[in-house]
Amino acid sequence: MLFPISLLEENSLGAFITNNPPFFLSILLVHLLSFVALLALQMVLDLKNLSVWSLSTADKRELEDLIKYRWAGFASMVFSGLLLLIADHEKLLSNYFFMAKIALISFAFIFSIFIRDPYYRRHSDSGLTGKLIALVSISLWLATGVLARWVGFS
Amino acid sequence: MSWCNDCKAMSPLDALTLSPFITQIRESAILYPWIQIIHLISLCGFLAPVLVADLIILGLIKRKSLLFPFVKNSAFQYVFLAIAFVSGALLFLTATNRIFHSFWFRWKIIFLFVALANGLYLKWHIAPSIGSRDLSRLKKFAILSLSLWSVILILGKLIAYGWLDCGFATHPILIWFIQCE
Repeated sequence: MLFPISLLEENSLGAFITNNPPFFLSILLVHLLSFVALLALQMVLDLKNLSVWSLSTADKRELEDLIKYRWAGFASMVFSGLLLLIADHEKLLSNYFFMAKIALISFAFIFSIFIRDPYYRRHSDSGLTGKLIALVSISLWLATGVLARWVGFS
Repeated sequence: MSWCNDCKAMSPLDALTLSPFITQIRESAILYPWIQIIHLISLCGFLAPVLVADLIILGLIKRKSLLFPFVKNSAFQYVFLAIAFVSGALLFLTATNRIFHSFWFRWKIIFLFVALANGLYLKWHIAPSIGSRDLSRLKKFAILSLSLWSVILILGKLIAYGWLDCGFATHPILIWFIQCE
């Protein structure tokens, strides 16, 4: 853990971002848009399996293609988040909500990669297990959103 | 209105802002952040089907038949829109005077009306005959929709920043637009 923190402290990128408010704000806005895109797409992916919309099996399978756009949103969110962390690492690394957010994002990511996505690649019709997986998945991402917003208030 | 002795001298909006319920939200370290969180999440819920419909129109999702369930079954979307509206109204009431004169808020409301009109146009006039239409002709509406909602999200975030608020605005057109005294 010491190595990444020292890396954050010794780089000039953080100072550049901090001393350029418009640049900092632009990164913050990209982070927000990426997060909204990610959460909105995740809602579609999970709520379709909770039968919010009446979709055929073929429709549900097609919608799983949204995963690639979700990962694009995720990558953009992580990249902009890293820049924000570099700029504001002293405050963020001592914030418990931020730590909890990172832990939850990691868990949601692992859950998606190893449990949710493989399950829906194999099963297009969601039974009780599928619904449970969808419920856990959407809950994890929503909780991430709650913590992300809470970081700003703490 | 027992909480407000000078209500007759105030506008109804100011009186509402000073009501015990709104004062409690404004001063709460729990309620206010939760209302903001609910506002953001309900916006994501509202935008989820919009995003899918726009991606279908842009050809990034191949199956055209998918447009029907997302356009037809809007109850889910209206629930999220109602939650976003109520939570947004509560946030507005916590700082009525500042937000009402906010440059970003005024543009957000203008863009919101345009985005909703664009969405309703797509839903009522185009979607019913979608099977017989060439979706490429609708691409401009989808691009407009994605751009408008992105701008609305950005403007919503910028409301928190005080630049261009009354006291900071110097240009006469800007002062006229945000109605500073």
